Amino acid sequence: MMMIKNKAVVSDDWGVLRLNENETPEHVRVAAGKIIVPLKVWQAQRAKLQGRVDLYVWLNSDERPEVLQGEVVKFAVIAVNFPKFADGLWYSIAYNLRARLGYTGVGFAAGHPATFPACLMNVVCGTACTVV
Amino acid sequence: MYRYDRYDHQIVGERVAQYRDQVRRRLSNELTEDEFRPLRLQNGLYMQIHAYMLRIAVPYGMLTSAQLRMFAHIARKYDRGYGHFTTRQNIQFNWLKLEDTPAILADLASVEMHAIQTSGNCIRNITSDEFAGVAGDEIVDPRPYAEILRQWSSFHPEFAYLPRKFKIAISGATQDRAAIAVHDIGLSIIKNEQGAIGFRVLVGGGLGRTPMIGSEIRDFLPWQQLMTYIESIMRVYNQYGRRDNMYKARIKILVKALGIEEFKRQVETDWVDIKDGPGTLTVEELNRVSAYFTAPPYEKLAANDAAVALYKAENKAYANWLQRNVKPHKVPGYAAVVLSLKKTAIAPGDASAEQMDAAADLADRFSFGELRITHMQNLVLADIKQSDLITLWKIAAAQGMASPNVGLLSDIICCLGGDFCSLANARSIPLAKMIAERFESLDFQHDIGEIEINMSGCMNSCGHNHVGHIGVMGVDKQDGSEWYQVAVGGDQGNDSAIGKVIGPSFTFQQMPEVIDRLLQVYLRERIEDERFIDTVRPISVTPFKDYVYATKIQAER
Repeated sequence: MMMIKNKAVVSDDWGVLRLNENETPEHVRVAAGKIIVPLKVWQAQRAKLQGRVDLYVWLNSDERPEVLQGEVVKFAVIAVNFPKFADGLWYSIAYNLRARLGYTGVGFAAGHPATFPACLMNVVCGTACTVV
Repeated sequence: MYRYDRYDHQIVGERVAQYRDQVRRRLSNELTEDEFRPLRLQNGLYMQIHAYMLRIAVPYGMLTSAQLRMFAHIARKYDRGYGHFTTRQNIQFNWLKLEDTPAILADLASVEMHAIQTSGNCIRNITSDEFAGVAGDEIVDPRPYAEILRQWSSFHPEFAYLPRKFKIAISGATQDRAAIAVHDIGLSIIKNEQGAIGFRVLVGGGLGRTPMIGSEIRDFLPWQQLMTYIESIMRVYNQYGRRDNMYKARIKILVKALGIEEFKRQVETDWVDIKDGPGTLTVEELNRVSAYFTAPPYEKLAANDAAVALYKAENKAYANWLQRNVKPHKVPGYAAVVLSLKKTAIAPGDASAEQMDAAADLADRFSFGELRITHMQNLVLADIKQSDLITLWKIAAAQGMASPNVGLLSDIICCLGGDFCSLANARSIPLAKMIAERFESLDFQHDIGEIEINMSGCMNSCGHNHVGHIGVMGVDKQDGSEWYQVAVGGDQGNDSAIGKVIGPSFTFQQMPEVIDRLLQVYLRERIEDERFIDTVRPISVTPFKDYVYATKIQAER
């Protein structure tokens, strides 16, 4: 999976964990190496995962970042899943992440890049990357 | 009048260049229609039944003569010789070809105009009172605030993809002429007991499928806090407005679902952090923007012009025009003139290229080069010396813009309807023409007096039928014919109300008789010369309903 920053590919060895039908947050195996896990997996396996350095979290469109209150500093990166580019809900969520939850890391949007207005995300949310 | 600075020029210029390339790629099929659609909508370009329609933003309805002449040029060169003024103070051109649209946007940019945010799920044109700056009942000129809101909302990154479109209206007078009660956010500038300026804030008004009068969220918001408070309203809406169903996605649905108290609580929770923050409006900023709206160099004149009074006594047509189309002005010796675009047999709100050029000339000659579009689809020349009225009237009359019907029966608000719009259930323009012709007699219209008949071709209510004293709405009965539902008792302004449907719908051919029967009830029930709406309110819809449905209505040939 590619990470694009300032229109250049900066990294392409990030894994994104998505749960299959028969997998549960509590029991899914989180591979070693650079990986971005679903919020529910982080919450379910927090004790086991919190020591890891190169592990980040992604949130789905019906999840709120406020559940990470107090923990956001742990994550250099929080990702948001934008299945539909015209869903602007996440701009406000990202604003809240920065302005209210004090998040200073890199936020990025995982979704279809072709029509994604990444420039807007940069401006309001301080996100720097688009993930393909 | 606001003038672009270098940032405005740059961003609009870059947008034109970007759009030009998008059209090129569409025409060469590099972009599919699905891919192109959101891109063209970002520039207000709709695909309608016969051709492309462009909706151009006219901020709070204000125009220079140069801008109006550019509209005339576009009408002539790219369209069929006319344009249509809308209920949100914008202009639309209905007969455009895709390949011409980049050139049109470039032409518009040359006179400091664009079509950005006139479509899509974003904050649309900020609308206001057509008599802003000149009305006798004005408390504070709303235009500086409207311009500040326009700048703030243009390209706002957080609110570019709202659940649905968002419309804000602002009034600065005692009488609301901006329909603030049926907007997503309605603002009324007021002064409190200490004389401080602030806003009464309404939220969740709207028309369409679920018409609602806005709820008051704040009875007095200090002017400095305007931006931060609206930001919080937008943020709550952006997060919690429904995105699963486009017919339930406006803010009015959210306000109704939560209740105004809970909605207000959520807004003010968000607001706590940003109130008094960097978004606070400063005196410097207000002054900077207000400087664009200073009073023109008025002459010192007597309150009334003797020649006008004399001519009025001699010329009945002029007297009628004076009574209906000329409005009082706060500066002695001046008046505001409404150029009526509601001549019989012409589609309401349409103006030909010749009429636009003539209006621009009138503006240059008599009104400091400026005009306004009203949300009732007429034009206003706001600063006319009373001594110029007679000359102006003759020129306007020669151009078909002086029908003495402002506020009367034939001053109909009408959407484009089935002739143009793919959303419509029925035609609206031919119906408006038929009604205007049927009741053409000026004597009859004067006898009826002030009445607002609003017509829409479908539930989207772009013709504001819900707030018409008589409201007509095209409905779909799935049989291929045109049917119209009639409501009575709606109103805009300070006494805003949603009209009540009187009963089952009527055919196109039955409609003139329906209107006639409604008017008969009014003439029968009215006390002295009270207005139609003042008769309806105490007696309600029932007598109207009873009389209209008493006997079968024969279709008119």
